[in-house]
Amino acid sequence: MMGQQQFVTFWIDQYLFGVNILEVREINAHTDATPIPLAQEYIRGLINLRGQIFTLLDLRFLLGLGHLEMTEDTQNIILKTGLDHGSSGDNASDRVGFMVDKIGDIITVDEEELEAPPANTGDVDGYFLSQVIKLPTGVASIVNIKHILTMKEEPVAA
Amino acid sequence: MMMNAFDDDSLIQEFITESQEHLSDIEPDLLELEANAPVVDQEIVNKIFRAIHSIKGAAGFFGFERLKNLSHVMESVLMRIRDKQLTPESYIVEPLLLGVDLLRNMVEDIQNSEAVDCDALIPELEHYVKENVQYKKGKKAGGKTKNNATITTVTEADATTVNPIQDKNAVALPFELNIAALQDAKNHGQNFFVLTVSAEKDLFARHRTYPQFATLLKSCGSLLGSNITPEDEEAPHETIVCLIGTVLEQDLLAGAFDVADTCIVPYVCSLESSTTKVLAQVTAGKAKIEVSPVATAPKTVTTPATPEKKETATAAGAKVASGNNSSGEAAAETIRVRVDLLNKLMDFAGELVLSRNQLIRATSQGGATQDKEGFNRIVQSIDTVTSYLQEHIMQTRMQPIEAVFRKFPRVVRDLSAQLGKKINLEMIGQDVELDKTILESLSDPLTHMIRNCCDHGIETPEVRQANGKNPQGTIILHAYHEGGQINLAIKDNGNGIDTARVGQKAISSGVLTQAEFDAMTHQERLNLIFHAGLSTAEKLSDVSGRGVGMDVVRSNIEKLGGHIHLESTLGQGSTITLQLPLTLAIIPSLVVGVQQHRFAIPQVNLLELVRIKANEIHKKIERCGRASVFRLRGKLLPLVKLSEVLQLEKLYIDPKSGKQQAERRTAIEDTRFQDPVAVEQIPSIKRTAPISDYNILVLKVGSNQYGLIVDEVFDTEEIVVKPLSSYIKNCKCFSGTTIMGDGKVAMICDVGGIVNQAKLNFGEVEAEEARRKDVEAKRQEMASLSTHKSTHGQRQAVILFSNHPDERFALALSSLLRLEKIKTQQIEIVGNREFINYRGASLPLIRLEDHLSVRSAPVEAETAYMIVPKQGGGKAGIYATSILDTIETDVILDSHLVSDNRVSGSAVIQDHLTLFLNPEALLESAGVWLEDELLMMQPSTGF
Repeated sequence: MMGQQQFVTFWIDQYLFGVNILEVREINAHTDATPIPLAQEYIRGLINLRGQIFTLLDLRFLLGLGHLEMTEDTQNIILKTGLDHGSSGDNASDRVGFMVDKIGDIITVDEEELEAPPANTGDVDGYFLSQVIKLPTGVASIVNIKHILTMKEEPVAA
Repeated sequence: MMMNAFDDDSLIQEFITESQEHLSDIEPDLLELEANAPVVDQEIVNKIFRAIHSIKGAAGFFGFERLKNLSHVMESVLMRIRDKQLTPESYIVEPLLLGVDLLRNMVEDIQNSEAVDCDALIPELEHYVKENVQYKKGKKAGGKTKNNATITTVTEADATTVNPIQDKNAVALPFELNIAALQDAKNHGQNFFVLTVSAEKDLFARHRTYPQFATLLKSCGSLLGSNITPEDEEAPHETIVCLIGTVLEQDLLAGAFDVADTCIVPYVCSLESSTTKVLAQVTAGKAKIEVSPVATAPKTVTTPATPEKKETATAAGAKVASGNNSSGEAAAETIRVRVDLLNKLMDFAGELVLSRNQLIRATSQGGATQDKEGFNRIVQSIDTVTSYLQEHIMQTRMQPIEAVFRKFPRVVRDLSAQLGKKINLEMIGQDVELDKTILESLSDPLTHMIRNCCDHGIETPEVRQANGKNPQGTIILHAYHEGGQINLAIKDNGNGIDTARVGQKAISSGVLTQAEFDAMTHQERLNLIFHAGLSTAEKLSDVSGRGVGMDVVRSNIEKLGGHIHLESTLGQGSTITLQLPLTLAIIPSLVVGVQQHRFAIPQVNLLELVRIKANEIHKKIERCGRASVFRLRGKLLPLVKLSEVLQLEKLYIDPKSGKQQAERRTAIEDTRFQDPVAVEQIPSIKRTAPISDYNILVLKVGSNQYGLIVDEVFDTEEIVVKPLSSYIKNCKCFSGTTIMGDGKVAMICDVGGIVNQAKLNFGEVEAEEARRKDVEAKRQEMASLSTHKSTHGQRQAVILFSNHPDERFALALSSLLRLEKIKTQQIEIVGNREFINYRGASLPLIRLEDHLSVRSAPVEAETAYMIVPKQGGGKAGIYATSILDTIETDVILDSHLVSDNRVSGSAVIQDHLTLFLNPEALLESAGVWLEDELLMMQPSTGF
């Protein structure tokens, strides 16, 4: 018996990506993020979600595909952080999400469909990818959430 | 089962909090005892005793052996002090203080409390308990030998579990122990107690036979041994001693067996040596039982833990397994809140719910438009309740600064002993309250500065005496409120800071050159001590002097949104003043707009707002090199554009298309127009910025000021500060984020960070300030020399106004109650007197021409001014046609031009002869009676 996993898929540029649904807190279309002057290029700004402030990252930029252009389809994927997993401590400032060009379907895949990312990820920065899903229509790259969540500790990743 | 109690984190957490509180109370009390020795204040001793006792009790309950043992000996020493067998001299208080430190260490890291080394201290304290002679100072007690026997029973694996208990007058348990039963009982998590009952008193007097009693014992646990056999109908001994194993508590047992508390003592044993006789000894009403070694062969149990210890170990072990290995998970912090405050909060919460219900009803009944009046009322009540709630919730976070101050007497005491100095610490304003988070992060910087004072500031008694000072130095810690902020002053009357030496050090370590140093002001030289890596101490001491310190202190204080200021006079002492915000959570701030962005500027940094109209910018803003400056009351204010600092894209509105476009020009002030008329004509064809007026926020950073140019000033708002996302790096211009009324996020500017980002160099400004002050001082000196009849020396703020346009009058600002703009048509005339309706009352209006020989006011304009002096209690106003200015002046009044007492003198101000009014005499002659109490007040001359 193979286990199954669910992924939220989304489009950046012409590529299909996915995140494990268990990592996602919510998806919304808040596009009025407050930009932060002088911040790193991959930070799109801050949004207020029910009294909590979330930092929005430009995943497209992190993947090396240039800056995201806002369109009608632009959505935010808000990630779960330590807070949602019940860990204590005041890391309220760590709430984070990222902007994507377009949200795709939620797909359920057998674990055997998952594979390590190929060596030639091409113009996409492989650092933020953990796996790929082999779909009948093509492949979807799974975003390495851990690498996104730990970005705050690293000097500057992008 | 008892195990559950150990696992219960909340209980242990409560114990920790309580113990910490006790410990912080004990310290000052001990110091007081020491200070008053040899007189012993029973009250204090009892207080300490009780505190230690409750720690001991709880530690015993939770099975923290070391904690219990240490507090036990401390308690015994205190008891002897209480019984006047010992006097609390330094050599006794010293180990007690050390004990307090150790206890604190243990309590702070409770799961590892067993690992804290107190092997040296306990015997030392024990000596004071046992010996009848008082120890001479310096003589160390060596209690080791007593414990040798015990130590041998313990395997090398864990030498720390030794119970240092005297065996001198120990009593043997008069029976053999069954190891298997003991082991079994232990495995069941039972505790062991030795029960010593008198057959006469406890059994027969209560109509119990031994078998009945034995059954009773067995019902509560297991009877592991006794000096009588259960079959003995007639008790052969007067006292029955038995060992029982039970999961019940000691006090419960006493109740269950119906015997006195003192009959039951906990029994501690090491199973390794349990084939032996058990010795019991009773000290101070509390028994300790020691196992003396006959056989030392360790059993298979590797840890020679006592039953209680074993339990702690497993409890701790469980934690380790579930959590992390090193420190154990940090338990949630707790805070104590007064019940009355809590009740109030509850009331407000209730009111809030009520308002919400009203709101729901108002909106559901056919929309909000129906009853605007009622709707407003609800909004108002929500507004009030919210602010009350905010205020009171804030109070729960507020804690008296005493919590931090409390530890300093000890610090000073220890340091003065260590450094051979005599230092007296005075603390003022301990009840000043500060936000908990600020308070906590204040502790380290303050400690550092106190240490500095002791080490560098205060001289040795010899030096002080040689300099004609009191050999005892004084450090004053003073906390007080000022202007919505907390000020904290650390003042010492020591040697002060030798700026020459600081300079030498700075020059030799290459921080700056001799020339730079020569050009510095005194204040700048003082501020060198905030420079990282500088230490002026001749030699390193373990107290301070490594040069990492004041810079850290400063950055810590600034992180809290505070400022630090240093004053020092060589030979007389130094004062360090910290300015701190009351709280960090909710702050009043000014919301400003720059292009499409909004930012919040904390009010505490804001001094004033200056608005410059677009067509005056070129006249008023000047350029000095590449920098823009503005003359604010004669002083140059460096200007910084927020949009430039934050590198926001500049926009302007194209006059032709009306669209916003990127601005490519820099420094609009560059295009200077000499002819103001020309400027006013041009704007129609000139392209303008979205908002062309300059709004200058005059901000202060420490003692420096600068002007921040923003496009728009919105409103003042109380904002809730949220921390800056940790994903954002290198962004020093912002200190946090907040959510605005419309739900959008706005950044909170860090006024100090903007200075750095804009690369403002305030050193020069400070120097200029100092130079200006010097000039001022010299000028004043000259003035006082040249005028012989100088009567009024001090500066005074006055308001200048005119009645007839050619005549000028002045009135001291301090004697001014109110200044009102009035409409002349509102003036009513009754007889020959004029009145004006003002705040529901008729106020007589005084015209200067009616009382002084001055020209009358010209034909009335539409509006005029009314100056209401304090004298007369605001019962009359003086009519003025125009208000000219308010200035600070130190002019000397010339009184021989006027003979009228209603004019206190005249002077030339701004090239005009100005009459200084005496409001008191003026009101009196106008028939306004001064109220008695006002007459009683210090008559203000008003020149």
